[in-house]
Amino acid sequence: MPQATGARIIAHCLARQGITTVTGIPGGANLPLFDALAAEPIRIILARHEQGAGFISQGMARVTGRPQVCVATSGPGAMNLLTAIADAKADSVPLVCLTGQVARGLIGTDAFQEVDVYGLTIPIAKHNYLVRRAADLLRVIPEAFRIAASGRPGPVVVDLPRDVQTEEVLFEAWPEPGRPDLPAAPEPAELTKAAALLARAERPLLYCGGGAARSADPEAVAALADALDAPVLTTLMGLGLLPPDHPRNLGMLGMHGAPAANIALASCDLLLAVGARFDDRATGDAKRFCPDAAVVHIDIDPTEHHKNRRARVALAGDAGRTLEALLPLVPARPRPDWAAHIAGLRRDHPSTPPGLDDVKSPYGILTAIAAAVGPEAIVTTDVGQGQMRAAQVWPCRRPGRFLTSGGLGTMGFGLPAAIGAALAEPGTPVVSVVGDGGLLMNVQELATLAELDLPVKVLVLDNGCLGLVRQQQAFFCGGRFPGSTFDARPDFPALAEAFGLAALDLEHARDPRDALQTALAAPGPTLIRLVVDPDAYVYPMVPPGAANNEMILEENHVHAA
Amino acid sequence: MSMPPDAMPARPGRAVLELATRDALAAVRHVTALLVRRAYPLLALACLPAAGGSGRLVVAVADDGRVPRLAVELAHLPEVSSARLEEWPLPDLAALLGEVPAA
Repeated sequence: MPQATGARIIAHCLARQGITTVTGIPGGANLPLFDALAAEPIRIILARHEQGAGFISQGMARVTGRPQVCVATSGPGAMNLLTAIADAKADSVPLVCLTGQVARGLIGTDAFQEVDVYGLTIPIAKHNYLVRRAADLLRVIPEAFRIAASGRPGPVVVDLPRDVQTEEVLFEAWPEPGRPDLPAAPEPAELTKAAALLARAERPLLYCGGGAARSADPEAVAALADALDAPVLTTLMGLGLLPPDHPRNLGMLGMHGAPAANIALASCDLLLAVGARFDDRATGDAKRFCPDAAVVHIDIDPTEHHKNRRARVALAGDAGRTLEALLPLVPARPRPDWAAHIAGLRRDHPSTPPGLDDVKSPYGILTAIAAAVGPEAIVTTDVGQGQMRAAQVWPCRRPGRFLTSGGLGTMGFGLPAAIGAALAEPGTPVVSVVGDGGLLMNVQELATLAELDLPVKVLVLDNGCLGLVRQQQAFFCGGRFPGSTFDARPDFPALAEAFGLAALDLEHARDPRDALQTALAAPGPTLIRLVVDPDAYVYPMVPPGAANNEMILEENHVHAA
Repeated sequence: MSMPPDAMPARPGRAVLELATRDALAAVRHVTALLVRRAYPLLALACLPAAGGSGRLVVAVADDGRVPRLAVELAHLPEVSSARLEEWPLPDLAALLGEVPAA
């Protein structure tokens, strides 16, 4: 019969799960676990902050689609991890987060570095455990992986008192690794109802989110759109489901979405939502979102049904399996009036961001980098104007290449997520699009990046302010800018060099395009700085509380500032 | 739980849910956290642990028309094995609310 400590049970179970890399930071309450991890064929990535560790693991999980592991010590270590946990929940990213805890006898005594991790993480995790006996780990660790990966993925927290890690257990056998449950499929009767609604629709529209990007076959989506003669709109999380030049792809909807997409929503009579959750950034004013449309909602998480929008038919199932089951039930029929309307919207409301040919403009540098690194490259973004610009023009050709903090909107996500993506796919070029504000929120991970020498190119769009905050202040707060401007401007290239990275300042490059190509072609990490006008706004913009077709467009907008 | 006036349910009334749990004590924390997060006014909760850690929870909430959705969401908590709507009054809960003597 095997005998092992709690820490050894955890580490060996991770290895049996196929985990080869964990991220984290050691501390007093998780040292036994780190010792045990070091005895397994598991690489430990030492982040410089637990939030960085969480986002590095998220980057790995978003690229591989499998649960990844991050480790923090008790108290402040676990507290620092909270944002990455909440972010993973919001974007349905499978994580297993192992937190150290004070010894069982000290729990509840306000011991050094004690916080109630279990209580803190209940509202932000998919599930969580406080392990009170080492023997329970034989059940809990595989179960944590199963829950993280099953159905709608998410983060699972396992809080580990220090003396549980050192407790010896004698047990019968090592448990089987936790595997995701079989994906759910909807009821045939509901599928039939949905197919009948789709068949009758005259102005159908597909609205596809992260669930579709994760599990649906893009060809099945395109085939259903062909059968319905319908356009496909994606959310921020659904980018890459169809290539941008696919004839059915009408673009991204929402606050900074494509004008044609946002306008089309207002006149559809049937909305097929696939793995999308009617998020307010996507819908604008929910009461005026597709006001005349019957909704068919496919979602693996039945708690999303009817939450923000009542569905005529709610299909609880995996997006891929549901679409495959639905496709043969939907008769193909041209809808020439609707197709002509959509074609007219494409013609009359094109997306034409400014400066696409200018490598020293924010849109121009994004398209230049995208062309240089190729379609297989992974891009991560921070949150704000850079994120929205990248979403608008980065040519996402397949799912899983555009990693962004969509639901929680966490500044500081971009750099560590890029490190995780590069760890998950060695050799694949990775670009991280960040602002000066966002970079400074996890700038310490430049040290991790330098240490790992990964091929990550960090593009800093440096406008000396919190750009999207400033934009909202300009548009909706009378042009007053309290608290959004940085008076002290770090020298980002010098900062990168201090961390041991190569750096390029396009401001001082004699031939910016050539310098950019050289920087992108160089091995290892590089920081590239582009100065951006703080008053260069991102259009279109749906004002908060407005309907999606009430966008502020650049050509008819009088700047508030 | 005190609530601001504008958060009060539009349709006053009570709904009772009975939850079968895998771990009754863990389920108490997850269920109450979910009620707080979804802004349900909790009227009463009875935790009835059984041998081996399983057991049941009986939960009374104000019925604002969202209760069927709440039942679906509660049933999906890993510590909850099933959730069903019950008829009011339920003796356990009614006693907690001081309405009728416990059965």
